[in-house]
Parts: sequence; structure tokens; C-alpha cells
Amino acid sequence: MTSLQLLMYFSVIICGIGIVRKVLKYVRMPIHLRWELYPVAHEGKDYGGSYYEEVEWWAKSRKRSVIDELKFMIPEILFIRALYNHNRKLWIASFPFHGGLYVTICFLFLLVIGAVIQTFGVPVLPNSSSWFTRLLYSVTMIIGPVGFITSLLGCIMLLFLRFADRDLKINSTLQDYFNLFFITALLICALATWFFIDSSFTLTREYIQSLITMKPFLSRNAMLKLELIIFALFLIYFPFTHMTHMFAKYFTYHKVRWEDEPNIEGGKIDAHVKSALQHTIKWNASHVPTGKKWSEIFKENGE
Amino acid sequence: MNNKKVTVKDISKNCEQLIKLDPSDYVKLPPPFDNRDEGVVVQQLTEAQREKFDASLDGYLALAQSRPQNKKEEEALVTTFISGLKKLMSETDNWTFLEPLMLSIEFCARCQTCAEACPIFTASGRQEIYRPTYRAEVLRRIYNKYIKPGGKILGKLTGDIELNWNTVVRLAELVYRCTLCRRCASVCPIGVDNGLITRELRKLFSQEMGLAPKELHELGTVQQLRMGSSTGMTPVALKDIIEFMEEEIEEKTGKKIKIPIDKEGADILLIHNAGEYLSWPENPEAFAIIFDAAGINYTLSSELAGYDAVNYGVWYDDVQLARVAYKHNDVGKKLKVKKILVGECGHSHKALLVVSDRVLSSENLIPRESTLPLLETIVKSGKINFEPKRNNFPVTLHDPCNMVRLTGIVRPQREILRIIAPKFREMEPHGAENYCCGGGSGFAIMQSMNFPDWRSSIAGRMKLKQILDAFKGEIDPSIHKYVCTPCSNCKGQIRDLFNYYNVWEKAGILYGGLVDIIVNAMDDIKEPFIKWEWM
Repeated sequence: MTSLQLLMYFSVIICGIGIVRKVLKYVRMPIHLRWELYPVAHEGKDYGGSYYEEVEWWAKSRKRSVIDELKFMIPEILFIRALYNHNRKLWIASFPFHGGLYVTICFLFLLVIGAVIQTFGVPVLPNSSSWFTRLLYSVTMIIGPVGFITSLLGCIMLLFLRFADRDLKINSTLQDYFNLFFITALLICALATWFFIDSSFTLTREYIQSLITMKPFLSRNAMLKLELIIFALFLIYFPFTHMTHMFAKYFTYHKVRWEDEPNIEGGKIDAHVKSALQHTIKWNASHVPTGKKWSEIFKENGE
Repeated sequence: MNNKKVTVKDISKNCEQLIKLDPSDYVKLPPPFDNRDEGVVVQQLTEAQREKFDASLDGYLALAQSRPQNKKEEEALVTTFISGLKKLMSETDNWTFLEPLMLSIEFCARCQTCAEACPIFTASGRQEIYRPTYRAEVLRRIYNKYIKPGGKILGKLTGDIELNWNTVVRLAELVYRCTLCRRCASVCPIGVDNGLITRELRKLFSQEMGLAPKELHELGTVQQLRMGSSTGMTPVALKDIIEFMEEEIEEKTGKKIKIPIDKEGADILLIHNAGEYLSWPENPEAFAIIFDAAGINYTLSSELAGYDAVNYGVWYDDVQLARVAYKHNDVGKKLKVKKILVGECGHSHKALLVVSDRVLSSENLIPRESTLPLLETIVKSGKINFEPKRNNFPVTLHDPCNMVRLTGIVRPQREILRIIAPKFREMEPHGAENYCCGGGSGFAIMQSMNFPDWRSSIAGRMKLKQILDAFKGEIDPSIHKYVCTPCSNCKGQIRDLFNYYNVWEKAGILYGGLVDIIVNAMDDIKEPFIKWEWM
């Protein structure tokens, strides 16, 4: 096994652990007070209405439509609709960037599928006997560069905006630039490798296959190695940045913005609230009953 | 310092004042107010005020915090702030809002999409310190640098900041330059909520450092819990006012109505914002007229906090929020009513219907609802005859943020106006995309020094622009126009805003509640209920 393979195992593990840890952190967070923002998609009222528009809403069934949620989520995830509606200038750069990354992720997924197939002795080549592997080969070959080029263009436009747009420039941190440069470097390397060395991604697929089979990967190509090193480093870095907002968005929407479940006697929410009210208050201002439980504060005036 | 070049790091700079506002930068208002701000001398603080309080943010004082007098006090400010910040980020100390707060701290992409949505940032001529991300970024950087492991080194990458007493004092004032309307959050592609970050910072200052505007705390929640109302109105005074209202109803309408109070076993406990009784008694009077005509079995309460729906805790302090919410529910339980109905008060909708839902366990809660759906049902029921021609004047609707974007009550008020007001037109944008009146999150009641000037000239500016635009072509003061404002705090802000710009005299626009205009259209009321005069 080569050091490059070890680095890749390490980076995939770190990336996986980092993302799972981050997701679990939010899954395990205590119940919070309601802080929804209307429109709440599953209510199905685009204008922003809620069940509070009904007299005696608690005696009626509440609408909770997954289809209405999907109607909102799909354009938001695929086309970044909020940015399109409210910040068109940035959307022009952000959409190809994210769209290109989506295509690149699909490309990586297809590469992994191809590598798995190859481990079973079926080559993924243009002249394979199976139509599926021939199709896999062709689609992978097309969407790879499409993804790289589109996201690279978007990334360069984003970098340009971060430098040229006054509002973005004075409100960006070093990390914002670093992230974009990092991705630019990775995409340029990927494009160069594709263009000069591995136009059919056969070599890259073999590398992935070597990771699956844990057999040595013997290519000495420096450009491919550079691409793989940068990719591995990116995987290590990624979970510790705000770029994980793709996962956060589930929580910001489903657990905050659209979280309108009322507290009903004997319900799950009620049980969580009762448990939270047992926490001891440690805040220190004079009106706060430091040392008492939340459940004990109600009969005081806070003077 | 050049206002437009102020950066996040500058908040800790040792300078006399971070920005100086110039009215010529503000968003232009439509005629006849297009030249209103030219040459206006903004109210300056006196020397004594400047000496006593720290006005080094923008020259205005909402919180009015005293300057630290020595090094020890300066250090204490920073130490207490850090101690509060640790609690803000703790699962047990801040279970109430940790998840939404952390999501907003961790995942902002600094895309600035929120900036254009903020009426204060826009109206002020895009002042950097009012940008929705500014105070959020200050907190984020302090957290990254001073709380997170390795922050002293990694902080350079994630954005540097120096935490000193200037930072703390300015941040404490800056959290009172946002009305928590959350319009910024509604446009964020990621779902980051800078309004929540501001609210949580207010909480840190209040719950750990004891810093909150006196109108919200001592005169607000504390007074409400002690005396019954943030207005200082006692139960005895309430009963006197109710008697006065009964007499006034008879005088105005010829109807002899007994307003029920402390009626055990009624179906509904109706709680108004107590400010209505003192400033706009015609509003609870109109409720009494409508409910009497519709045969609603309801009662008011004279119990402590039972006659004041406000819960200022929702803007700055979870402990006070919980205490007031408990009292409201407890009054309903004691009166054995089936439900609590919240009158025309926006933030009470949010506090009582939504936020306090999880700060009390179910045995301390009783069903709560808004008056608006019930009013819609009454208007559509045919129990009352209306003559819409009586409202034959231009009408527009102000949407209180807390009712629309934050509670999701958008349709009933419109349905009512479409029936009873033939010249009703929307202002743009409206509904869940509305602009705050500029008095949100307590601003409407905050009268500290020169803060009301800031509130009228900046915070309420986009609302005034919207109102004027809604009546475009009818600005002539001889044409009487009505801004239907179903929220007590919004009314207070619009009153101050109209006074500041002399809107009644120059444009003939009056404001009032929803029930007022409903009663104005009732065909058995002889005289118009709405009095076209500026009070």
C-alpha cells in the first residue's frame, strides 16, 4: 500500500467522522423554544399563513404536507432559489459553482460504482461487453469535465466578487478566500489531470479500485498524485468549515424555520420540555434565581 | 472614521464615535417629505449625557450604559461578557435557543443576501454597523477566538477581533439597533438568523450582566409581574378605566354595554395590551361592541398580568419570558376559561401563542389564539350588519411582523378589510414579506434620550415610505386616509413616526386598529366611530 493510499483512507475517515460528529451534535441538541418563520412549507400556504389562522386550531387537524415541503426544497436545493430571488448578482456565480459541484459529486459516485464493478473483473471501457458499463464509461467521461469546468467558472466568479464587490470584500474573512482558492486549486488540478493524463478517467478509476481492494497503486504520474493529495487534504479540511452548510440546511429549515409542532399534553414535546425545565439556572444577573431549576422560577417576580 | 469603511474589527477601536449619521445618506422619502431631512439638526446628546453614558457607537443611546470608571471596571465588563458567552453556548444554560443559535453562528457564508432585506440598513444609507451580519460577525469572531480551542491562532483565519471594553459596550448598544423583525432570516439561503443572534446577545447582556433598557426590564417585565402591567396600571385603575369605557361607548354609540370582568367560567379570556386602555381606549371599546353584538361569552381579567398581554421577555430575557407567560396562562386557568384570546398586540401573539409554548410544561398551558380569526368569523357570520360605504376612504394595512412572519396570521385581517373597506389596498411588500414599523422588539416604548429620533428617522423610515407609496396620488391632506394597524406597539411607533414627520397635517393619514374600522362600518352605529382628528 502506498502513502498516497494511506492518506486517502485517513482523509475519508476524518471527513466521515467530522461530518457525522457535526450532524450528531445538532441531532442531540436539547429541545429549543419555537422560533419558526413563515411561510412554513408543510402548511402549504405560500403567502405565509399558519394553523393559527383557524379558530380553535387545536381542535382541528393540522396540515403537514411532505409534498409541499418538497415543492419548496427541490428548487431550493437544486437551483438555490433564495439566492436567485434575493441576490441575483451572487447567484450568477453561486449557481454554476454549486451546480458544478453537484455534477462533480455525481461523477465521483459513478467513478466509485465503476471501480466496484471492475473489482468483480468487469472492465469499464468503451468496448465492454455490457451496455451498462459502456454507458457508465461514457457518462462518467462527459459529466466529469462538465462538473469541473462549471464549478471552476463559478468558483472564479465567486472569488472575483469577493475581491471586487465592496460589500462582500469588507465582510469576508481570510477563510472565505482560502476556501475558494483551495477549491479552485483542486478543480484546476482535476481539469489538468483529465486534459493531459486521464481523459477517460481510467487511471482515476483504477486508483479508486486500488483503495477498495487495498492493493498498491503503482502510477508514478505527478499530476495525478498532486490532484489526489489536494483532494485528500480538502476532505480533511471540509468538515471543519461552514462549507458543511449542505447538512446544516436540514436543521435550519426542518428544526427551526419550519418547526411549528405545538406542545400538547402527554406528547413528545411536553416530555422534552419537562426534562429541560429540570436544568439548574446558572446565569448571574440579579433578577435571575441562580441555582434554582427552571421549573421553580415561575412564581417569582424577578425583582 | 468614514462610516462606509467601518469594519467588524473597528468595534473595539478606541475612538470617540464609531460612525456619525448624516441624514443626507438616508433613503429618500416620497413627496411631500422628500426634502424633510435636509438641514435637519439631529438631536445631539448634552455634554452631561455624553460624560455619563457611552455613546461611542453612533451617538444615540437606547441602552444608555455608563462608561466604566477605571481599569478594574473595564476588565470586569470583559470577564462577565465571556462568562455569559460560555453560558450562551452551553446545552444546559441555554437549552432554550442553543440549536438555532449555533446553526446561525456556524454556517453563515457571509453572502450578504440579508443586507438588502434589512429596513434599518437600507434606510440608513447602508451604514456598515447596521448591516445584519455586523453584530453577528462580532459575536462569531469573539466566539471563535476566545471560546473555541485554538482560537487565538485560528481566529486570524476566521476573522480577527479584539475583545475589550469598547467591544462590549458598543455591542450592548448595537443589539438595540435591530427590531428583530427577522426579515433578514427570511431571505437567507442557508437559514441563518441574524435576528436571533441579536436576541441572544440581548439575553446574554440581561441574564448575565443585568444590562437591558429600563423600559423593557424595570418598567417592563419587572413592573408587570409586580403591579400587573408594564404601564404601571393597577387592577383598581383598570376597573376605573373600564367604567369610563362603558360610559364612552354609550356616548359614542348609544349602546349600553356591560364589559365583563373576572367572569369565572366564561368561554374566553380576552387580554389586551394594556397600552390600549391608556392610549387608545377606543380599541378595547370596539372589541366590547363587536363581542357584545356577536354574543361572545368572554371576560377580561383584573388579576396581576391578566389585563396586560405584553411579554417583553420575548425580546431580551428567557427567564422573564417564562415568568410572564406563566402568569398569563395561570390567570386563564383560575378563571376556568376555555381559551385565552390575544387582542391587537403583535409581540404578544408571538410570545403567548408560539415562543412560550415550550417554556412551560403542558399542565401550565391553556389553549391560546389570536383574535383575528374570531373577528373574521364574526364579520362573515352575518350576526352583525355592515355598511362598507361608511369606510369609503383609502385604507392600507400594516402587517405587524410578529403576527405575519413570526406567527403566520396573514389572511384573516385581509379578508375582513376586503369586506368592510372598499378602498383597501395593500402596501408593498406586505404579508410575510412586510417591513417592520420600526418600533419592533421594544423600540416603540423606548424613550431614552435621543433614541426616539433615531427610531423615527431610521428604523421607521421604510414603513413611512411604504405608507406614502400606498396612498400615491391621494396624498392631499384633505383626503382622509387610514393605516389599519392591528398592534399596539406598532401604533405607538406609527404615532411617533407621524408626529416626527407631521404626517397628519401634511398628508391626512391617520392610523388605528382593525376593530376600530370594523365598528366604523357597523350599520347600527349612528356616528362614525373613527374620529378624523390627530390626538
